[in-house]
Amino acid sequence: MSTALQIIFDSLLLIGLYAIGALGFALIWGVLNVLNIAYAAFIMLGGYCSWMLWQLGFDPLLALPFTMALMFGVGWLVQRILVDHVMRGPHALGIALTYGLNLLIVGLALYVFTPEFRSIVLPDYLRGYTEIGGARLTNARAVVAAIALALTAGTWWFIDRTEIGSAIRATRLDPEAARLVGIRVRTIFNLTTALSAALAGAMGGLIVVLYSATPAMGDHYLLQILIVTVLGGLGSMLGPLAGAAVLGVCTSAVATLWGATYATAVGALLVLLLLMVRPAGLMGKRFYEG
Amino acid sequence: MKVDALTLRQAGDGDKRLSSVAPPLLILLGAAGAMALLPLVLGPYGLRVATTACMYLALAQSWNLIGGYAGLVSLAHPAFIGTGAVAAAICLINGLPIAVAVVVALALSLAIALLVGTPTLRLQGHYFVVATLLVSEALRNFVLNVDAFGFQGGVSVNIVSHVGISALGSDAYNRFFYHLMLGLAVAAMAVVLAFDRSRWGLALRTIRDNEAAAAALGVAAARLKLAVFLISAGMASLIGTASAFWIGTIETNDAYSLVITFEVIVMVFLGGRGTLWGPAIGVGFVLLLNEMIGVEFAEVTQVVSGLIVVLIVLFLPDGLMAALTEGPKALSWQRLRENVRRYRVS
Amino acid sequence: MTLLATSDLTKRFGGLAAVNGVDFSAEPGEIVGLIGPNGAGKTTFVDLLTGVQLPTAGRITFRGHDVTQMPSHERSRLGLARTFQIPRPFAGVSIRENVMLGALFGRAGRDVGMAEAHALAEQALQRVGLGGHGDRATGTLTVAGRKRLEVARCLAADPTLLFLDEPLGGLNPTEVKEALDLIRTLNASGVTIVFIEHIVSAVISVSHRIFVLADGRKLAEGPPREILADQAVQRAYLGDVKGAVNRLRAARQRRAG
Repeated sequence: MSTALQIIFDSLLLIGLYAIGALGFALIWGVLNVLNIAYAAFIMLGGYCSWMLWQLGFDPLLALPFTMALMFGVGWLVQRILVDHVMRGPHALGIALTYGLNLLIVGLALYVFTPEFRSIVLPDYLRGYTEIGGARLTNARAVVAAIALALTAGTWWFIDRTEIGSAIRATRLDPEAARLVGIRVRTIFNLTTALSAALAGAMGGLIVVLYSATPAMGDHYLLQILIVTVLGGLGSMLGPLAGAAVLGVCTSAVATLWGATYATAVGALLVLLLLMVRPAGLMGKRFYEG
Repeated sequence: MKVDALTLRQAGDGDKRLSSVAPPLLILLGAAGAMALLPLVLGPYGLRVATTACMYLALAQSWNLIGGYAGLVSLAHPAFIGTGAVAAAICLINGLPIAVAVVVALALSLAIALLVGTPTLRLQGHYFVVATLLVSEALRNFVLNVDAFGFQGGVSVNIVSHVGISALGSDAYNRFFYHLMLGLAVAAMAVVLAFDRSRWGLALRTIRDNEAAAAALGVAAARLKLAVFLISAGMASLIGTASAFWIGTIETNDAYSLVITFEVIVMVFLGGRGTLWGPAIGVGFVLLLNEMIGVEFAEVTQVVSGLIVVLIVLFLPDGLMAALTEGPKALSWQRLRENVRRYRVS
Repeated sequence: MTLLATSDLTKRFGGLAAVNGVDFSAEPGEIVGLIGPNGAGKTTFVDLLTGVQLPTAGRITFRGHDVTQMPSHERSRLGLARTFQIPRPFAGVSIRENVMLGALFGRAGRDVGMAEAHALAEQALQRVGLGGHGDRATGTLTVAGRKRLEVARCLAADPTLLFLDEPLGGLNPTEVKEALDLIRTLNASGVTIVFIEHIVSAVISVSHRIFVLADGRKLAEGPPREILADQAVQRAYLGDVKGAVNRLRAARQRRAG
């Protein structure tokens, strides 16, 4: 019992991080049909942004909204200046463009920040732990899980309940029809990528609090995000959370039972099996239909 | 018949492609002959760069088949390159002859391609990309955990003494592998050439545009895609085996590295995907750039190649090949502006 | 002998039956007009016949073969060809290569070589009035030209039965007349033709027989004049018009109110 509980507690951190990351990634994939490789760079920029704010004396968690705001701007510009120009092309073009952009940004980060690990001294209130049912839940894990839940809920509310959100949904279903009813599709695209980048920034900001920032940090997480996104499907705002829960618990369980080296292989196999049975993902019908 | 009512404007984009195999074949053989003589003028370093170039060209053409002609952005290449290297190495350290090692590695790669190709090729759009990426990563992680036949995934294997030519002097050794890679590159070019001019090449280009319409005209799309996936995987596996023999040490993470595949994809995109000469141009361009910048400035290489990829995708989405076939006109400011706007959201 | 026949052909999407228990047949040498109001299931019906979609229930036979579950490309080799409602030529290859594809892959029994395919493509282009334009890029074609290119692609495959999905849509009156002439000429050369069309006057003028679909079911079938006089057909079409007018009116009121 307490082992099972400990596995779940241990996985909370990863579930939270993956859920936030996959939420933003699924947004740009679902609405724009772009497989955004530069998402890795967005995560990394978010991490360094939070680190720099912390150096300026910010509390690392209070820095998060500022990091997200800044990344929102970065995402908007990237869409406006670059990705907008491949939207109607073959989808390989979008992959190539964002891959090149990722290379460029990570290279610049290597130059500016050097490959050195940058980390933040964990504030006291994140250090303690609570004991529940014989298993330890550290404050850091609880807080990350709470933030992930809040961001998922907030994004769900925005997409599902606001007017702009319904414009995003309409654009996802049929850009031409959306244009006909007066939605400015290009603005919606910019906004979606901006939101997606803000969520990537949040993920990076949390990673730097818990672990550390390096120029290659995003590349490492992108693979997990891909797994989570496909597991969760592009069908609903809850998909990323569900996918993250599946991968997080699996990773944690596999690591406890067989060793950490099998974790990625198991996650990848899970996705491949899923894609054979359900080519649209776990919760995927098609983004927000019926 | 009032023909002008049916066509908007004159434009010359013919099917000269299908007219003849002979001219490109002559150019290819001529270039191969000239390159075969390169060891006479190149020192050891130059020869190593030339060998690397041939390896990349062969890989680029193997990816061009699936990624360019079929338009399927496959990231399963590391799985085949890696299996080609690792399986051959395992055979060698167990005392099997080289020919057997090559065949076993090839057969294993083809088996993997058949196993993963059947389900993944059904997937639509980005799901194919993600699935093939995960195939590579899952296999890499699996091999890392292998501990059998005297092979441990986490430990590098030295096979120099097993390749059977360790008695050669270093000059002869370098020349042998240069000619081997050159042969593979020429063979890969020839495969793509034959394919480009055949009915299968034509069918594949039409599947890329509209699979349902191609099927309605009698093209067995699923079977053709699987065949191309297998050919591409087999080529990648052979190149993986050859470069393992050349380098002499096999490390799982390097053999199954995604980086090489991404480099190869960039080369194909830069040169022109789905064309015969495009990948050659792409390989030359990237390697020349790397030589100019030099290895000590790795991050500069990264920044510059990232910038170039972004600029090419935006301004020359058909690759540098367009500039070669159309001449300097393709690089005029007006054309570049048209290219930027071609796929822009309206 | 009946060339093509369906019995109880049905296709459901979730709860909605787009095609519902349709019995249809086409005799050799016929021109059959397939009409029906918007959303009647005409395109889905042709998709089922050509294998673009597979039916939920029912049976399709073509030249004595059961083709119900046969993949699209194999049906093509049996002699079934089709055009699509929105013509999308293969943009990556020239006009002639578009047509050569049909000659290379769509013919049953024997392999057609590249040189022969080239000649067959040229013939097919001549037949649809695009002779001499083979070297052009498909992007240079008008809508009418693209529709002809699609027909040429099918002809190169030497079909027994040709489906045309709205061959007249988007054409001006002159082009409509030319397209109808082409349909008659092809038919005279022995190709059985089934075509979906909205322009009822055109369907009447060229069809030997008309088949009416409404809400996925067969509504009526018979010679053109009879169909035109059929009360149920008139109701189906006028009902559609009335419905549309009512919807428009309601929308206007909502906007005003």
